Amino acid sequence: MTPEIKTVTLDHLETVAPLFDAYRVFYKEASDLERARNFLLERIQNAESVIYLACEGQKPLGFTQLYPSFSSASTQKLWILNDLYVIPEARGLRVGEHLIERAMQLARDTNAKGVMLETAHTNFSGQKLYERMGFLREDLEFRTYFKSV
Amino acid sequence: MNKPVQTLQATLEHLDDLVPLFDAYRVFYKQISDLGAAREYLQARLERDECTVFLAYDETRAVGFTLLYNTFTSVILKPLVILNDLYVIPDVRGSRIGERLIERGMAHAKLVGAAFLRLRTANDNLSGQKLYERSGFVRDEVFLTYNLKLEEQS
Repeated sequence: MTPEIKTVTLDHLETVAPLFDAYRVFYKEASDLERARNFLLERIQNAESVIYLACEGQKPLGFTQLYPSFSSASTQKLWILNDLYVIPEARGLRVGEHLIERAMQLARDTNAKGVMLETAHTNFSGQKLYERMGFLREDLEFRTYFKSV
Repeated sequence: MNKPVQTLQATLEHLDDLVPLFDAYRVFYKQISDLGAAREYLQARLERDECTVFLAYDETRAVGFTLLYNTFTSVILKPLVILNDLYVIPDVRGSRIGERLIERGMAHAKLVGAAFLRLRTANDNLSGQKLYERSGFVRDEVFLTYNLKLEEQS
């Protein structure tokens, strides 16, 4: 099955918001459709992210959200593939691959250095998918630190 | 005793001070020195408000900078700030200038309502790791970072 990939605009907000909420629940957050919707509304209105929605006919199957960023060392644009979600009944249908392909096309179209993403150490199916798509783990070279604000 | 150091948020007016430091930082990361490209890049980012830069000065010259990019963390619906670059010129290291710049970065993250300040550093950058840990950063043990580099794709 080849899903249709749409670039999300305000017209698709009500379609993508429930998927985004389900994605957050998968990451152990409490469901909050209103806040999830408003977050996406702001990102779309301010052009602060690019969201792709995979559909089969009218049925939404999954989405990916990318944030524009930069690589100082290479003085190039860089996309952060922050979110990727496929509804449970559409898994195994290569919807994730199609969404990642679209993200890679965005990176090519914008002359970006590439696409960066983070995934949990325990998300083995995600890691397999990313490695199949050509992503390389960087933990042999780099480590990440964070500080709560 | 250390010379007094001041920090300020860089604007386009500080490009002449910032560019050589940014170039030296890129050379440290195995890039070829290119002052023109560095200037063009920083000017574009600052003009479009796509980064935030803090500069440190001692009595005579600019001695270090940090450059931050704003982004978001979708899962918790909040901004996130990436402390992407930090550089202090070699002959003034050990004077806590890095700490001062990180504090400015932290204040910026608070200002934009970010949940986290995040950074990546090379595994072999032991002095950087010590500095970050001293400044309250914790190593991320939960997530793996993956990169897809377009020029490596056939």
